[in-house]
Amino acid sequence: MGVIIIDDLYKSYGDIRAVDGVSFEVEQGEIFGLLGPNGAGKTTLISMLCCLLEPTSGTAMIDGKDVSKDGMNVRSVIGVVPQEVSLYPALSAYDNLKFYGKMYDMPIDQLEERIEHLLKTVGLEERAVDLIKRYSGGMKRRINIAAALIHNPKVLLLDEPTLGLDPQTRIKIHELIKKLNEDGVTILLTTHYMDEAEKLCNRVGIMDNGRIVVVDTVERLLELVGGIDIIHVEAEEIPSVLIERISKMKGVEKVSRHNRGLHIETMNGRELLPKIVIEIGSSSVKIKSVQIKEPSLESVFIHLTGKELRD
Amino acid sequence: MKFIYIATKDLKIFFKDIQALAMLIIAPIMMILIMGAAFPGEEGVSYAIPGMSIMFLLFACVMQGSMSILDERESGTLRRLMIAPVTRSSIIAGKVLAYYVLGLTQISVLMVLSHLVCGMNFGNISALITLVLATTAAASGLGMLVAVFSKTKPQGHTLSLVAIMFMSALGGSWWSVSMYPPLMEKIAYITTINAWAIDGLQNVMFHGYGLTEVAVDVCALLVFALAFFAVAVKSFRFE
Repeated sequence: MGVIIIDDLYKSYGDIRAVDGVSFEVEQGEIFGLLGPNGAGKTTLISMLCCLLEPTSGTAMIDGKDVSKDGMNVRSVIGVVPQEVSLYPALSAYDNLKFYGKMYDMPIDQLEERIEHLLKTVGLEERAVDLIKRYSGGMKRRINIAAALIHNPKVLLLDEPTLGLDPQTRIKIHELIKKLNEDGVTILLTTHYMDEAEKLCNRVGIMDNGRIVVVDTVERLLELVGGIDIIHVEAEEIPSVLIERISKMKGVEKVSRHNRGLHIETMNGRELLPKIVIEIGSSSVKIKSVQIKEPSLESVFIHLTGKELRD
Repeated sequence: MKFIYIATKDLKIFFKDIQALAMLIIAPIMMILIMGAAFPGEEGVSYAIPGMSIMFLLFACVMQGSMSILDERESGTLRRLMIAPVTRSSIIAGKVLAYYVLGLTQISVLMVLSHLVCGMNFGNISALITLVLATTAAASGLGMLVAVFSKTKPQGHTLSLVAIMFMSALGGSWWSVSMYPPLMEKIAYITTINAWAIDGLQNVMFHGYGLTEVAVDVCALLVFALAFFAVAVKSFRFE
């Protein structure tokens, strides 16, 4: 049985359904990624899981406890890493961790041991007494994660853990997430970075417009677009007649429009590319860029939703 | 217990903030020292101290208190507290306790210093303490009310200043409300904490009143505190 079980979960704001009938399970020891563009409903979903938002309908259980009915116990078993660094800048890393530990009723001797262990895990044991405001962005993020782990949670929820970070810091955070998972923590993370989901997650749920479009392992999702290349054409005002002409070209599997141009799915991208450029060039449309995307979670996303992640 | 940890954490943050410390502790101390040096041995100067002290108390409880709540909301730490197994009432109680203690510390320092430097009388100690506790409660309630009705920190800052200036000017921190026309005096008592607090403190310190004689002032201050807290808790937004 899954450690997180979400069943037909809805969250509406007036007529807008931010989360629209989501169901999936996360197994013990898994890293599960929720992948989707901004506004897909990922943060709303996470907010319901950590009892900050009441679901409109449906249920979500964590470690056998209902998030709507047993909030206090759910909060004791989850650790949540918010998108923004939520620490007290005027206090040291040690004092921040100690304060949050007390919020989880940790006995002081255990708490001190735990703080020491976590500071080692995030590689900041030598900066323990420095004030958070003197830390770099990456270091703050690491303490932000440590604060969520202070009470040794069974489940860790991370909301866009590497948003806006430089590549080096991202690698460090990725290593940390893997290490925590090896130590037995079940992880649910949201991201809109494809490579993050590919690198870290055992299974991925693709989310769009409040719905889960598909849930599967990264390998199986890639099989969905096995051999398919996506030609990404960036151009303005492409007429429907032209799209129709491209759809009828030999080797073209599917054409979808996005707000900056077209996605053309094909089995042989390199062969077809010059022909497509000539076809578009023969019309009055000006091409800004053309790119072939090899099979990746990004092509899976485009294949399933017709949209780009950054849309 | 958790609300005590929250309050302790807030006080620790406050005492590390040199700017806040300067405004709330050092500035009032400076004022008393200047008064003492400028009017040595003049008892009349003591009359101004309750009014000034209440104004400084409002700075501690209204300005610092509302900023502390708004800061916690804006920085996401309030959200983090709500994700931990802490009840919402503990969070609110912890925040209020912090600036209640801060206000009490400030006014105690001011009173003791006024006694030492300006020779101000304490009068009946139990009446004085009861008045101070009730006034600080009302001021803390006002701080929370300001936080509740402000969306951002700059907004909270402006609203605090307006509230403090209104209470201090109308309520007699700068001049005596007994000099007002009767209607104006009534309005001062209906709308401000300062009028009751100053009336009580002056009667205890300078006219030898005891606890029963200032009971009306204490009750009025507690009514202010209850009304402020009731509205603030009801409309408190955690996000």
